[in-house]
Amino acid sequence: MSTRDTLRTFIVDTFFVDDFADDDSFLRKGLIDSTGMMELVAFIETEFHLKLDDKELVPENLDSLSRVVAFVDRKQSLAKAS
Amino acid sequence: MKPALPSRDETLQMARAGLQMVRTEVFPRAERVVAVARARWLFRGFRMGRDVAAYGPVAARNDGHAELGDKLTFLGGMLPTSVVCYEHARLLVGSETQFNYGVSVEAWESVQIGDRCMFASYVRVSDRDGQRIAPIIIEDDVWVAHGAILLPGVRIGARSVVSAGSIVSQDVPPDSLAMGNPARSMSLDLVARDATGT
Amino acid sequence: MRVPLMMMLGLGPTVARLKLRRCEAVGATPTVWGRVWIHGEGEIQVGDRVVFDARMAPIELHAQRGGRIVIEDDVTIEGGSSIEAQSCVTLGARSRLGMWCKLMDNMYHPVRGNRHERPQSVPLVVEEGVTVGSRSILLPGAHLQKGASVASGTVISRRIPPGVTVGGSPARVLRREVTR
Repeated sequence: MSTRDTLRTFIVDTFFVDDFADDDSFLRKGLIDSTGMMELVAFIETEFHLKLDDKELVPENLDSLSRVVAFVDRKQSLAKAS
Repeated sequence: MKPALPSRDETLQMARAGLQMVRTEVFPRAERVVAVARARWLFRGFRMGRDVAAYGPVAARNDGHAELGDKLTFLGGMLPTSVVCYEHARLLVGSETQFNYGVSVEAWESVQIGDRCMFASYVRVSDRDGQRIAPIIIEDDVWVAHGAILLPGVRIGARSVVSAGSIVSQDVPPDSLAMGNPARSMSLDLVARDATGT
Repeated sequence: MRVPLMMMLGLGPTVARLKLRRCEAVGATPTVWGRVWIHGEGEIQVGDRVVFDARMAPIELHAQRGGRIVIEDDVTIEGGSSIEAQSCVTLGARSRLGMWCKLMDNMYHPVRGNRHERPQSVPLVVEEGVTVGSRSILLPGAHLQKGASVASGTVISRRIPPGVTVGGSPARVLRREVTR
C-alpha cells in the first residue's frame, strides 16, 4: 500500500470522515482536532518508523493529506540517505 | 382620585426584578468582598498584591519567599487548592492569574508563574518529583487545562496551551499546544485559526 | 466496608433523594454515598438504581444555564468525577465512570485569541454499557458507542466505535471486539 493510501485509510478509520480531497486543510475543514492531530503524529511515527521533531509539527508539514504525504516521503528519503 | 395601585401582576413582576437584581448584582459583589477578605487571611504569610480573591478553601503555606501579584483569583470547588512554598524556595505568581479548584503548586526551589495565566482544576505544578529539583517557569498567558502535571525543570512559553491530562516533561515553546504523556508540543497554527480558536 | 448508618436503618434511598433534591428527576432507589455537589441552573435527570459512590471524594454535577445532564438507569459513578454540561451530556444505561473522571462538553476557553469568550459546545454522549477508567478526560465531541471501554488516564474527544477499548494519551485503540 502506498503512503497516501495508508494515511488515508488511517484518517478515514479513526476520524470517520469520508469525503475529503487530498489538498483539504484538516483545520479549515474541521476534519481533525488537536487530539486527533496527536494521534496522527503517533501513527506516522509507528507506521513509518520515523522520529518527528516537535519543531516539525507545523501546518506546512501536516495540514493536509498531500502535505503529510510529501513530508513523510521527505523524511523517509532523509532517513535512507543517512 | 386615588393614584392607581399597581396590580398584583405588576407587583409580582417588580418583586421578581428586584430579586433578580439582588442575585446578579448584590450577591456577586458580596461574594467578592468575602473572597478578598478570605484571601487576606489565608495568604497572611505571603507578600501579596491588591485584590487577591479566594472563593474557596486554599491551603497556603509560605516558609520561603512567596510573592503573589494583583488580582489573582482562586475558585472554590470540590477540593481545596494548595499553594506551598518551602524553606529557601521562591514562588512568584504574576497578576490576574486564575486558579480553579484542586490546583496544587509546590515550590521547593523556584516556581515562576507569569501574568494572566489560567490553571484548570487538578493541575499539579511541583519542582520536585522525588529525584531531582529543578525550577519551573511558566510565562505569560499560559493556559494549563484540567489535570495536567508539570514536572520539574520545564519552561512553558508565552501564550502556550497545555492540554487536559498531559504530563509535561520537556520545555514547551511559545505559541504551542502540548499534549499527551509524555507531552509533545505542536504549533498552535496547526490546530487553531488565528484569533478565533478552534 | 464502611456501611453508612442511614443505610443500615433502611433510609438509604430517602437520604439519597434528599441529596439529589436539586435534580429535575430522580428514578427509583438511588444510592448516594458521600457528597454530591450539584450546582448550576441547568437540568439534571437521574434514572433508576443509579449509584453515586462519593466516599473517597465528592462528585460534581454542573449543568449550566441551558445545559442538560442525563444519567440513565443503572449507572455507577465513582468519587471525584465531575460532569459539566453547557449543552448536553448523556450517560447511557449500565455505564460506569471511574474515579476522578472529567466529562465536559465545552472547552471554556478558546485555544487562541480572547481567552474570556466561550467556544461552542459539542454534546457529549456515552452510550450503553460503557466503562470509563479512572482519571480519564472526555472532551467536547467525545462519543463512546455501545460497549466501548476506556482505559484509565485517557483523553478522548472523538467517536469511539462500539466494543473498542482505547487507552493511552494520545488515545490508541488497544483492542477491538471480534465482530460477529
